[in-house]
Amino acid sequence: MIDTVRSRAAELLKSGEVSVVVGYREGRRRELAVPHFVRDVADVDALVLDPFCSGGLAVFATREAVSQGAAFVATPQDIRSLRVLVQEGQITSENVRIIGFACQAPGNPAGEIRLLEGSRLEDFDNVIECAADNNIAAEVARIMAMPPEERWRFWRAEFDKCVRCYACRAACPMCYCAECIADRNLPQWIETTARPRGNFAWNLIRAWHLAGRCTLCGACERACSEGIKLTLLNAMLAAEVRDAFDYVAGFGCADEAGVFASFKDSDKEEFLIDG
Amino acid sequence: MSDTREFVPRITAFVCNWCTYAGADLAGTTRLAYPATVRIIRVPCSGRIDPVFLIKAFEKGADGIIVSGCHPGDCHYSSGNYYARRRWSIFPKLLEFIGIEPERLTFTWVSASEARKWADVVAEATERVKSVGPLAHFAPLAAAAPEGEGAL
Amino acid sequence: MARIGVFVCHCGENIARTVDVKKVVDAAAQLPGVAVASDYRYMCSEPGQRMIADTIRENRLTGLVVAACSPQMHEKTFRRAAASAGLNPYLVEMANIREHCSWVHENRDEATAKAIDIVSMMVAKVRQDEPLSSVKVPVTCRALVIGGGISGIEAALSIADSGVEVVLVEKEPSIGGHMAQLGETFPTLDCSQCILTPKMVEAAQHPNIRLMTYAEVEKLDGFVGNFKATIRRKARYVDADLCTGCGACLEKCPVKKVPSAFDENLGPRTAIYRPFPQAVPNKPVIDAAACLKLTKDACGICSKVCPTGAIKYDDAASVITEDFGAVIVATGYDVLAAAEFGEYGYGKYADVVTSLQFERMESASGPTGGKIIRPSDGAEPRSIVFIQCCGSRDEARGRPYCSKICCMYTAKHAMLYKHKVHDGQAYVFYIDVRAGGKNYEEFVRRAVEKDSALYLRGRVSHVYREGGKLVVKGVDTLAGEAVEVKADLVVLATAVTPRAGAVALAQTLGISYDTYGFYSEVHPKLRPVETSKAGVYLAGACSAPRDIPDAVASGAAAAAKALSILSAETLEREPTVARVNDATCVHCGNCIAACPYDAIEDFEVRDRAGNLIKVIARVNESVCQGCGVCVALCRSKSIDLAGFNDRQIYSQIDALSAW
Repeated sequence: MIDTVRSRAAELLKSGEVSVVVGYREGRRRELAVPHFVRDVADVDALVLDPFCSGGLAVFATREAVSQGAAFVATPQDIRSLRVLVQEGQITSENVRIIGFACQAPGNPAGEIRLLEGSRLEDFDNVIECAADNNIAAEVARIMAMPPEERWRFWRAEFDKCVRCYACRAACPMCYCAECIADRNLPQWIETTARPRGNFAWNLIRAWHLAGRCTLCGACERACSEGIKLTLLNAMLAAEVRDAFDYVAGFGCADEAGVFASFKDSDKEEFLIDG
Repeated sequence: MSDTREFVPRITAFVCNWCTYAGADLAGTTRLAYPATVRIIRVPCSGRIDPVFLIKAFEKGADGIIVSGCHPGDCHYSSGNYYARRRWSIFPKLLEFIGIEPERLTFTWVSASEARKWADVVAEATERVKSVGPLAHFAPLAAAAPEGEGAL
Repeated sequence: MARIGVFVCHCGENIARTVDVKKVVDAAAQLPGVAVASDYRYMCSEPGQRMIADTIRENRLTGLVVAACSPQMHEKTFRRAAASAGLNPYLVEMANIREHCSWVHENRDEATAKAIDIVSMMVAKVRQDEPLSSVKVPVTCRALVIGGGISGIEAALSIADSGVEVVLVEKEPSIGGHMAQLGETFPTLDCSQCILTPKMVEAAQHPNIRLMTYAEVEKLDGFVGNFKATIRRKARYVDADLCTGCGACLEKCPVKKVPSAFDENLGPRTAIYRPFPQAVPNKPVIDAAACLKLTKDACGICSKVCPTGAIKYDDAASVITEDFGAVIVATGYDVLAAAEFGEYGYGKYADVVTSLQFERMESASGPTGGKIIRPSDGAEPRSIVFIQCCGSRDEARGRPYCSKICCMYTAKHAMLYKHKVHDGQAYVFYIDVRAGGKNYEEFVRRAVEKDSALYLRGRVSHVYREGGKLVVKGVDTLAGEAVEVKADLVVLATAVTPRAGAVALAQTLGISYDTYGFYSEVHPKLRPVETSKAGVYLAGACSAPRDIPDAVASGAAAAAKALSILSAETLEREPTVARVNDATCVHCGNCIAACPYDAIEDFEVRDRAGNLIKVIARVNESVCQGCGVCVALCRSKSIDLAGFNDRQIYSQIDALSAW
């Protein structure tokens, strides 16, 4: 399988379709595959593919160094992330090639890997979701079933851990703003010190700004040194958006507006309280 | 506030200029009494209301929040309230998920002629907030931050 | 350094009754940035405004908070006062402690505490205000009038006479509206057609008026001074340029039994028709649903007899767009469907008619040639019962309002009936007789005293048929007894209602309407023809029941308001517009996609050598209407809205932390 990846990488580079292949090479530990940028055909043999290739490489798509044509060794979530970036005008699909793969149990050494058909983003209009999503959904449901004060305690404990290093932001393919709202100080919607109040605001707004855009690649949570369960927030919002608007980030037509920058006359308004 | 006194909710309302603000004006013109629990922040359109306003209002001590604009189809800016509607069908779920009781949030449409509805909305929102009591969530968080932080 | 002045108004007793104004002043004086705080009995009065202006000058104020009424009421007043003293008018904020406070709260302590909070919020906001200057936009010097009834005609003529082009859109094949249906008019009894027709002709022939009949406005884009209207012209099947109006087709059309809507279904018309003989333009249209050629591909006679070849069976609707600077809505009214009045026998008995049907009977050019008859047998009625307030002032039917015109036309009907049937007797069941208008009361007295109409104060419970007569059962509340009147004809004064489709049109135009569907004025007393949408004005009965003098007056008033915009070369608009921060915009496209006005476009940032650096969003200020939808959607806060920017809103939220 890795041979296929390497030969496709070589083909793409040789043909000049892309100037760089963004994939994985072995890390210092067995459980760690690290991003690898291949610009030279001779270098393709360093590419690896295993269940520890955790995804999230789409974050590099908006970096200037790869903007002139890049191929991504990409998970289904990465592919959807790249499609959202096209939708939001950050990259052009012309410049992107996909070497797609899906792992049935990411992080598990026995996890089965298969390669995905297709090379361009347009080939992945309805790319599958990951098996792990079900576990997240169950966890979301478990939290939602708690009484409000217990939910608050749960999240207070989570957010208290936050040291405001913004690793989550740096790892997120969707966090491409030139200046994040968290860094704005006139006015300062989000307090900047790593104290509970600002931590709440930051984590809520981070999640909100990803609603309808996050593809649940999980890069934020993996990047978090404190192990905050960020994906739960993202997954909960993604599910709400899907249920309310039949909208899943990175699915379907790429030239439609983002879910909150569009509307339908028939949108539901169950949230209304009519006095 | 002493324990013997009845809890009087503090509700911050974000309302659009053309419908709900005018509806609240009409409630005044027609002298409809309602609880003095609401402080109104006027914005041009419900579409202007950013969820960060709500987070900040809770941080700053609001026990509840009212968000109101023109009815669908009646927006002064033709579609601003439709964007608001999308936003408000999702964002409250996030607040609920982290443990803020849904009773603290009132989303509604009040037109410029619905003075009675505005009075009713305030009364109902007040009762709903009362049912869950003061928002204790952010006070300890605020106490954990040094004085003066987070100002402009 | 901020030097804010806070001025708290007593509004006579309106505020001071429930708000302790002194306490508000004392609290305001303690707020950061406040240099002066004072109160006055009537801030909006001349001396009040002068005091504000003087204080601005003496204390070199950098901002102003007027704690008084709603900004909708007096924001402009105080902005002008500030400007007169050299302070930028956008450094003025209103703290609404009247409509939102003193008028809705009874407890003095609570109201005072709330007033202090409101003032604190506005002081916090004004400290973030920036001087702004109004946006100048060019004006398209052309008016659109929607509706060709008397008020629309009046509005169109008034505008056209001052040299401005007007397009008058009418959905029926002819202009004229309801007034064309009327026989004689109160209180002078002059013939409606005689006074209306010359105006219709004048409108049609006016060099500055373009009539677009059988057409409807489908869409209105843009904003004051720069509207773009999409107008759908229905298929007429008659080429109006070729048709001479000779009428040969009308005589020969074999389909002669289509109920005439103009005659309120009392008489027939042909499939190719003009609503009435004096129609303007006097050119027929084909009713596609009734025409044999169009429904069954048979007939075709009209085409054969037409001397100019004007018949076009393949005609189709067309859609055009036109630019306008102002729009006048004069879409008029409907009357309540009499079918709602089963208890009065409408629909069951042919001799129960509506007032509008009676009006057609009474008209010399109507289906009966001006003869008042019983529709059932054509006989002359010996007695008529008029039932007023059919649906009006009727809480149960959801119309608590007074239809205003019925008292007067009923008196007129009773009078005209007596003039035509000298020994006939008219009975009028009424709740109150409302005759407020020049010579109106005298007119009603004449109907009672000279033409011996019998007025019975009370409601009618039901009407039934007995031995060739209609029996009207009701109460005479003055006599305190039940009454029963035998009548040959019963006439229902059905309520004036908004046009069917009025709400849909309001949504198309972006104007507001009340719970019934009548269009709302921005202020019922002081701005009676303006809507909440700048540049769109109301004329006639679309906003409330109106008689002819009122309709004409409001048409002229709407025209004057429209002309005040159309006479300017450029228009000053509120500077509440969005602006993009070029440095931080990443062009995610949210604002561009969501802007309701398409006011935000791509903008290419280039270096001096012309190399593209990046693409960002940019707001076209003359198109932006200041809703702020874009601001709420911008994640990086790279777009903000002048007058309602993030700092201003944050400061208000923050001011409440002391609450």
